[in-house]
Amino acid sequence: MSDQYDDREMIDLENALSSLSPAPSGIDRDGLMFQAGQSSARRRGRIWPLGAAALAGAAIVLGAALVARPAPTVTERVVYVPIERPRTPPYVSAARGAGTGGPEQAPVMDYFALRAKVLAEGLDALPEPQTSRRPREPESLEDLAPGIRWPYRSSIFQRNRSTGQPGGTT
Amino acid sequence: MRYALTWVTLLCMLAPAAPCAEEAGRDEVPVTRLKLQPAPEPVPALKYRLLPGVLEMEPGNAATLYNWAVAKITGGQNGNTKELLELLEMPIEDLTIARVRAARAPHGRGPLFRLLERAGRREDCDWDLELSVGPALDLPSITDQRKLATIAVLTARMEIVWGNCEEAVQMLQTPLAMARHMAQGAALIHGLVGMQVARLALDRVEDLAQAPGSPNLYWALTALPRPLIDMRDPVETERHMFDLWLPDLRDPESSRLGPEGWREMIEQFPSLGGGSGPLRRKLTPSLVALWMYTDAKNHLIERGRDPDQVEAMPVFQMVAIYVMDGWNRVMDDQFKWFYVPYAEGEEVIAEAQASFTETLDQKNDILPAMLMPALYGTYSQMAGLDRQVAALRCIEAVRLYAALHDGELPASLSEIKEVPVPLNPMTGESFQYEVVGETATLSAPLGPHERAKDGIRYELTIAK
Repeated sequence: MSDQYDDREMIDLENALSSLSPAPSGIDRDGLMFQAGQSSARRRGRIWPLGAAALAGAAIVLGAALVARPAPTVTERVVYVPIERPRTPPYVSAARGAGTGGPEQAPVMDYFALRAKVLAEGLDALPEPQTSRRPREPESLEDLAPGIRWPYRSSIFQRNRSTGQPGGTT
Repeated sequence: MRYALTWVTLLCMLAPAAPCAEEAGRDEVPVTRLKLQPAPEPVPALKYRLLPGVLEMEPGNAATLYNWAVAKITGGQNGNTKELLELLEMPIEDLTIARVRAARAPHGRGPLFRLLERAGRREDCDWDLELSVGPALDLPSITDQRKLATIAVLTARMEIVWGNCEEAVQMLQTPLAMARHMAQGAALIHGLVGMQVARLALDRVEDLAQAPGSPNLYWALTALPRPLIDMRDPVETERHMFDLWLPDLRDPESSRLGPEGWREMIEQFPSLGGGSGPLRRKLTPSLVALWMYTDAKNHLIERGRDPDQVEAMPVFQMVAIYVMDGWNRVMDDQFKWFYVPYAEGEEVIAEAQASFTETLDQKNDILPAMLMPALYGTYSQMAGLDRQVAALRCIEAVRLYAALHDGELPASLSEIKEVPVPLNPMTGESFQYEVVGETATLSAPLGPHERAKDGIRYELTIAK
């Protein structure tokens, strides 16, 4: 029953459609293309022409000013630029190098103290010269050239610490 | 606060004042007894010289060669300086080669002495001291140089022992040239060592005056420069030690150091910022600044600075200007006397020294109270050296007189007409000379700052 009903509706639609006739097209292709071009050209406005005109005007004005300007006058001006002076390094006592104190050790008046001592007591207050001190005798080849890795270790080249004779430590 | 400064000043002046404590023994001038060998004037008169002549001098830095010589004696195989000095102090008749060898003292004209001879003939001597480090100034080889000079003098003395007097005179040129080199552009201690070396070398003229066949050295001594050791360079160095150490202190008003920079600067002042720990180092500058602030501000305003500018100035800069003004005032007041000839300024200088502590009555005198060197002792030593040369010229004049007058002593110095008899340069007056029997006494009064052991007192007899 329902199939019959559907078929009838489709037939009616077919008949209605078949009664229609195509209407002629209202769109002019060439006209459409002309209008599109015209619309795009109109969108630019006058910014670029006006800008170009302004720059041209400025160039003309500046060119004229350049030609007509008076000769430049040279003015010398001394400018002082503050420069950070290298600071005197903080005083480090010579005694520190001998390992007598750490970095926090207070300054010692080495030279001034020595001078005062010499002036008060005479030159005998000067320390005994280095040349009077006996150098430490090397105990081994490593002592002669510390830091060098010797190819072999021989007891011949090592001083016996107890006897002072060559022959290695015992 | 004022009392505190006085105590600090007194305590700090102890070291410079120490030589004054020796005044008790001022009368005990040691007597030097010489048995003179008569000797006429050499021909030509300047045949012998005690310093290298102009033609012998060569360009170059003598210090390089001296340091090279130090390297040659390094190692402890030589005797120490004290032993060497004992060999120079003992009577020449007691000096034997065995004693010299026992003291491990180099002797003879070996490579070491020849190197020193070369050094003594160099025109310049630049010790290249790093003065910009201030109190950390290292005098790397000063004691070794003193030892070298002692060896050179001993070497010349051994030639006298062996009877080679002309050789000895020529060899004395080396330590005397070295003594003069020591004082060139160096610190005060260099100059003091130079003066001691010169004295040791001149003492050998006493040895020569007694040695048979030794030439007369009147003209050799007369040709020596005066002053023999010029202490101008070392004294100038001492005067400007602070400026060389901390250049911003040369003109603290124009310095562009910021407030922290000034604080760090004052921390480096040994007497102001020095201390035994970081806390004290940080605190002391602040306390000093607080103590001095009002005086420093008033000082600057009194000097004509705009009060607004003074108010805007970093506190530590203000203190630095105040302290350095005090330092420069006191130092110049003391150092200016050094340029006055000793004979002219002796009394004034003695007075200035005596009143030195009394003049330190301002807060910004704290730095000179701590660091002012005992300059007067140096001043009198320099004059004393020239007096030694003059006294030796007198002795050589006596030898010359004896050679021309059958071995007789002149009854007075004015009897010597052959050569001019020098005056005592420390007083501008004649030396004291007196003949009793066959012995003449030549002496000079002690200067106000002189130690008795540096005095002059000779007993002269003529060897028959």
